[in-house]
Amino acid sequence: MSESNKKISLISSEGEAFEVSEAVAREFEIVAHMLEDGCSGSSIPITTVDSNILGKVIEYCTKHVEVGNVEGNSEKAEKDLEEFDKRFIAVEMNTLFSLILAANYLNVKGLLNIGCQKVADTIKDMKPEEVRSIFNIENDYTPAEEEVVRKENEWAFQP
Amino acid sequence: MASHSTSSTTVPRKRSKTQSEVAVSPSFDDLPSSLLEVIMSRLVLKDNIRASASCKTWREAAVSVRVVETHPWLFCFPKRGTSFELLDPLHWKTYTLNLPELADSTLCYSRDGWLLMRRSVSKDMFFFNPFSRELVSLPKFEQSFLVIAFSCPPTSNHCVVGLVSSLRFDVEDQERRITISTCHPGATEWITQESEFHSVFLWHDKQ
Repeated sequence: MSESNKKISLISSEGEAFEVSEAVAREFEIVAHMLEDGCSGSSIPITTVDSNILGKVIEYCTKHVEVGNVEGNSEKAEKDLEEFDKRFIAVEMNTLFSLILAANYLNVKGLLNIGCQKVADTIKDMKPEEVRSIFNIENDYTPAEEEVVRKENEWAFQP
Repeated sequence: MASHSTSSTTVPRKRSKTQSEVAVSPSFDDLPSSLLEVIMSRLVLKDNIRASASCKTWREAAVSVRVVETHPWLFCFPKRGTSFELLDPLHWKTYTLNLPELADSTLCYSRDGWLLMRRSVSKDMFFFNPFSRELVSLPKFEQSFLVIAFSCPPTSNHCVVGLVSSLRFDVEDQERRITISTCHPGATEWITQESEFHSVFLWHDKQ
């Protein structure tokens, strides 16, 4: 009983504390490992993630823990969760970038999965120029090098 | 594929951004390569190739996970010229490829994304991959043949090409005789053997 009520504080890079239940904190695999390794402190510093992003990751994990706890009616719950994921990841690119890095660092697999999928879905059917501009990528090819890459598989660049 | 890894992995990052710069405007080529590979592996072949043209970091990730799609594509040969049509039947999308490498050649066999071609005049034989445009030469085979096939992609050490050039009934010996020639990428000539064979079901494909 006491286990499930236990609260843990996650501290963002700015020093802000986010109090969450242990179940939510355990969704961060990095935290779950710390707890298993006997780290008994109730506050855990997440120094590489800022408050804005940490808040979002916690929102994601909280929702997934909540839905996971509801018994029965699983089909509807799954659908709701899918809808939630879809809305949750529909963010602008800077946030998406930070969410992916945070999910990778904290090892939140579900979030990492939908983050990477969002990038892949965005790339779909785009021209290299559009990809560069949306993802803020600097073209480091010389014109000649780029020509070689395009020529190699010319068919893929047809509209 | 081997050439790109030597050139780009050793190049140091072109920009080292401070934390605040990243916060202002992160660039997706700064994602760890393991994550870029996850992203690229979720793209269909066409998008993987397009993404690889955006920058060198993305190309490295894209090429490392690039796989030719597992569902078959239709490859349509033109009556004349070197403009081939490629049809992805799942997305019902047609692409046009200009492949001068295949001029005046006929298709003998195909599998695993590779075409086995034969030049109409010189009888030179070669493998061709229309996606990567790799070409692997084989020694010429002058005579006509009944059937031909190869075991696996010519980039594999185990690749063997086999053909049957004649199948006849020897009236004198009351025997069926078969003439088989084999060859592999890198070989200088075909090895031909004739032998007796018993099963009439060996070659059921009349084409």
